[in-house]
Amino acid sequence: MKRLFIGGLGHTVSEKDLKDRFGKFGDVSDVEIITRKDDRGNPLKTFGYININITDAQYKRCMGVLNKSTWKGGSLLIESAKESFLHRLAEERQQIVEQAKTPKISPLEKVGESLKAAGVENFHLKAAVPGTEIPGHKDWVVSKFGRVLPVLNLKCNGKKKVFKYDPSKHCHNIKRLEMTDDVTPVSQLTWEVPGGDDEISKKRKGEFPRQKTCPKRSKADMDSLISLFTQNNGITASPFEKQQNQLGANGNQRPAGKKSVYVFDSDSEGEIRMLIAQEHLRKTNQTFTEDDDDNLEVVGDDFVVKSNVMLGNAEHDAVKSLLHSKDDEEYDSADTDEILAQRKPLGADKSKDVEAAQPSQDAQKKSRKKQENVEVKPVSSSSDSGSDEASNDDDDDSSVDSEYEAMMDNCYRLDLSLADLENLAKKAEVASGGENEEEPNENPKTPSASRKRKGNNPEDILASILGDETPEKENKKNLVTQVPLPAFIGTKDLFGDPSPGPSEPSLKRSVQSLDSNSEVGPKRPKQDKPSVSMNKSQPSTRANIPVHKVSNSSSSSEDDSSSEESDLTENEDNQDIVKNLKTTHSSPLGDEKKTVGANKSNSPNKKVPKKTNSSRSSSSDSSSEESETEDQISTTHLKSSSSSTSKKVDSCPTVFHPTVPDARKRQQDNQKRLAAQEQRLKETEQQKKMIQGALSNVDAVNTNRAKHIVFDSDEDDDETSNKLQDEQPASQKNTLFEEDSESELEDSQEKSGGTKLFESDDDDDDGGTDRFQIKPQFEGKAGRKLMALQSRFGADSRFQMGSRFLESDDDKEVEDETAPPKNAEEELLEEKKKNLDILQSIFKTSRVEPAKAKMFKDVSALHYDPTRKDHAAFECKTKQPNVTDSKAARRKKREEAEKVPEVSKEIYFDVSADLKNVFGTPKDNQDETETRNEILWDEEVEDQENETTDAQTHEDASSGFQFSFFGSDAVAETTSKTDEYKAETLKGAKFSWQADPRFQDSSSDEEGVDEVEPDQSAFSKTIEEPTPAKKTFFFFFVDDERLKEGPGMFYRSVALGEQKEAWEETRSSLQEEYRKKHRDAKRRQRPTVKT
Amino acid sequence: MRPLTEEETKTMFEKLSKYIGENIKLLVDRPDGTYCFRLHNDRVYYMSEKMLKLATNIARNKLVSVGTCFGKFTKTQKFRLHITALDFLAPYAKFKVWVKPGAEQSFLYGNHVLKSGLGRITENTAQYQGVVVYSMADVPLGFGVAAKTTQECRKVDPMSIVVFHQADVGEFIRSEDTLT
Repeated sequence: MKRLFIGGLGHTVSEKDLKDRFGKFGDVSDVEIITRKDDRGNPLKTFGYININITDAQYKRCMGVLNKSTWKGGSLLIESAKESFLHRLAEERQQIVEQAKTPKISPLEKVGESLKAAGVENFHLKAAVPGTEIPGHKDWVVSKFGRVLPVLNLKCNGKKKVFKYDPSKHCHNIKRLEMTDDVTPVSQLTWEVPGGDDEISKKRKGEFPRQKTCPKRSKADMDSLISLFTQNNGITASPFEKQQNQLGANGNQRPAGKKSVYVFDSDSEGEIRMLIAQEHLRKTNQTFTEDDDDNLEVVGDDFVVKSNVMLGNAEHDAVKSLLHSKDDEEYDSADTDEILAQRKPLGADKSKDVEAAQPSQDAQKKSRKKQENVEVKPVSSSSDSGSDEASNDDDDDSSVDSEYEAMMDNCYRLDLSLADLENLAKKAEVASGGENEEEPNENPKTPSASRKRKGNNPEDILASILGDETPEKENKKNLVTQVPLPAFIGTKDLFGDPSPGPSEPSLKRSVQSLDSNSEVGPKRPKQDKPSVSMNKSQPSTRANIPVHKVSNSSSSSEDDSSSEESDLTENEDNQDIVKNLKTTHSSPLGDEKKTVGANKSNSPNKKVPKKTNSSRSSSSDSSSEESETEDQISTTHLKSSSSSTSKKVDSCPTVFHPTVPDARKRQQDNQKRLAAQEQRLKETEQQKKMIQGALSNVDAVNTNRAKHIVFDSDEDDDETSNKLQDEQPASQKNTLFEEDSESELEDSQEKSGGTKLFESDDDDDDGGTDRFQIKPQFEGKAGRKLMALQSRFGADSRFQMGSRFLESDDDKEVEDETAPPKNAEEELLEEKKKNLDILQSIFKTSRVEPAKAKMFKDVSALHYDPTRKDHAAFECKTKQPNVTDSKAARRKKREEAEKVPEVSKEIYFDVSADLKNVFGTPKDNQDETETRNEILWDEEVEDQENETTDAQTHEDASSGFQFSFFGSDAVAETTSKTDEYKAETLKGAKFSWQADPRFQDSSSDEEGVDEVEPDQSAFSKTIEEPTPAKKTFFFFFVDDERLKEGPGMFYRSVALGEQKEAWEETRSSLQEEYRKKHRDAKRRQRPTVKT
Repeated sequence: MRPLTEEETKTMFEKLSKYIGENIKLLVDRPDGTYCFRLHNDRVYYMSEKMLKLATNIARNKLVSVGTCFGKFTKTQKFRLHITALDFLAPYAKFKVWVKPGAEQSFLYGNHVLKSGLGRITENTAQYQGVVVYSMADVPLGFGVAAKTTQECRKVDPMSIVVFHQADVGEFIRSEDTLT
């Protein structure tokens, strides 16, 4: 098998030719002809390869015969060629396959084996001097430590020099390393970092843990967590924060704020965990499961968000605490109030709240009896106003509460905001609380009282808060709420609550609190020494008093469901207390001590008789003998207050020295709380009843005492004042003053604060007439304002409001006062309307589109409803034919209208036809001088002209016709009717045309001329036309002039040169003209384009 | 503080209507009292009549915020909703988008919502429709604009944006100082 290259082939040589040619020498198997072509496709060179089975002899012969022989236009060049690459490839593959079949022996092993044969084991030749060559192995030498190493020939890169490395010659550099037993081979080394299962190491390795699913917690767990958390808080909290904790406890109690409280109390880890647990609970509660895979969930428009976070709490709570919802609100408010109270420096209280300050000032006024400016009545009224205001505020607050609730119903984050508030307050309290608590320590007076003073035992406060509802309401603005509450209990005990149920818990409470006091007592060593006088002339006590009073009044209003009287007395008592307290303020300290001492000795049991005392004194108020009894009352009240406060103060140390949470105590607290809640419910009910009763009573009072004179109009009910004014418009002041003493009692009964006026605390009641005179400047609304101002400034004589402070324009003010709120409301309403309008306008535009898009008309369902107006579109209009009829009629009419002239034309032609005869006859008669030709011609002409409508002949005829018309009047008259006309013309033509001599005479000369002219023209024509009569063409006649003239129009009339000249002359002018026109047109177009 | 002019009201309502549609009516005409919109410092506040009255006692330059801030008017008199309006958008929203728990954080850091984070979407959501974004636990997280229609959302690849971020509750922390 040989592959031959055959060059120098002719272009025409085919494979078969080659095969045949070489077939002589051997078996040709594969022929391949390659033709090289230039870029145009012309063959340049042709050569080929053949595989041929050929012997060497044959090959030589072949070479001898065929080499350099010319064949088919080319000299052959034969050479032996390399094997075909395909063939080679196949061989290579076969080799590889064969190699694979044979077992592989690595060269290293081979070497090892061969070395072994030479006595080398594991490349170590023991006891061999370095440098000895291994027998039978070139380039293997023994190196240090008996190691057998190859001699390396290293070729430097790019250089021809070969560096021979003989390890035996460098063996001194080698040191043996200490053998380590467990050497991990490099191949087994990994990227793994040692370090166990730590998260960090895992992350280092690149393994990130899957999203952790937080462990679910049971609810019990959560609760325990909560309790734990609170306890921890309680333990770790500083003494000053204890109160805050307590607030937290309050929050605990109310269901609404439960979660939120904890959320915002701290950021501890347990907290967070708890939150997470909550979240999980929520998740588990979900009805549907989330799709974790990528499947996208598509939800309809009506998908309802479960909103368990935003609305959930509120709703849930609402359901939970349906009954307590309002209470809760009040708790919140109370809490905030407390907080505020604690935050506020006590000194600021008086100036800041008017409500609280007013009564106290009244009392102060009393104590300063020498202020003659202040009169009894205004004061009383003001005090009344105070109470009224209080009650009003009460109402307002309640209404506000309801509104607030309504408002909050729509807001989701009620809890949050409250919690925030608390949080805020907590912060502030830390700062301000210090002041509060430090203050008592400053004044060492009566130790027992001092302890009582500060009392802020959380439980007591809680109980008191729970026990008393109204004071809180009232005292939303009255900042000191904690203090008066126990006093309320005392009074309750004193006056005997009509319903025994509620009173029991209160008693219990007091007992409990006392117990707690006894318990706690020994635990506080520090507090024993110090001391705060209860009735100090300090701002704190002063601030307390008004509140005290308010609470009393409120409690009384609450208590008296049965009788007005008791209520009154209570009120009086309260005011007395206030007064007395005031007096003690102003009076030297010794007095205070006495009273306090007396108070101390008093026990709760003794209160009852004293109460009777007080009631008695109240009854005897009017008789102004009170000084002593009042003292007693004051003592009783002080005592009550002191006792009440004592409870608190006793418990206060627990605040300062928080002990390990006592389980028993907690239980007690819980019981207390429950009891208090119950009581509160009852009280609210009671209060409702009372309010109802009181309202009815008020009405009754008004009707009964319609004629009673009421003092100045400061804060009075409008009705009574109106009545008063009606009765005594002129001499109001006098009568008022005169009747003062008599109406005192009634007034006092009517109004709770009334008696206060007449209880001058001390002996010097010299204020007599002057005091009770109505100051003119305090009348009317402006006066009321003044009064309020003055009362705000207090009894200070420097701030007495004279008449010059009175504002003159009362009426305007009234208007101004009444007008703005209305306006504001109206404005708001208008605004709302406007907004809605805008909204509508927005949505009309945007709404229409979807509506259109969504409109689906079912044609099959469409039924024609004749009653509907929009269905009129479906009606077929039957009137249209009518319209067409009318059109046709119109057309007909038009045709008729058009026909009328036609008709006349016919008549006209008839007439003209008759005229011929007419003309014919007269001519015969008239002109014998004229030839018969003429007549003939005339006839002919007439015929022709009628048909060809030649102008001239027409003229002729018409002129003739006119002539005849104008000639006879009778004829002119009968023109309208054709028949008559014909008959007449015939008639007239017969004779009157020529026969009437008058005819020619009457006609003017002109007419005569006209008549003559056509005749002449006709005559002139006739001259030319005698012959045409013989050969009648329709349009032309022989030797027609038109025919002669006509060809002339096809020739040039003038010579070419002349024409040219004329044209050139005119051309310039024409050019100018057209340019001008062009310009004008352009000018005209421009403005239109512009516009 | 003043009531909004007609134009401003219109601008604001148009913006609001992208999210809650005709439910604006429920904000304007509330059964539980008179509520109104007021402009103060270019911001629109939504408050009750009562609060409005109370707010009159505070000097204008001292008044930081009243009621709920719905958003602000830009200098070009466009209206931009703030996250504080979410409380009123969420319950009335017409089109909603729920994000998966894994994508919540990303959204709350101010990123757009990708298809991979999209858990659920209201059907027939049009492109560029205002949507409120919820977590899978139905906690409103913010709002944005749908970048794709619901149908397109089914097809697109997981890394494409589905909802453009506009506001999220993370802003309460991130832009605490400017949010009033």
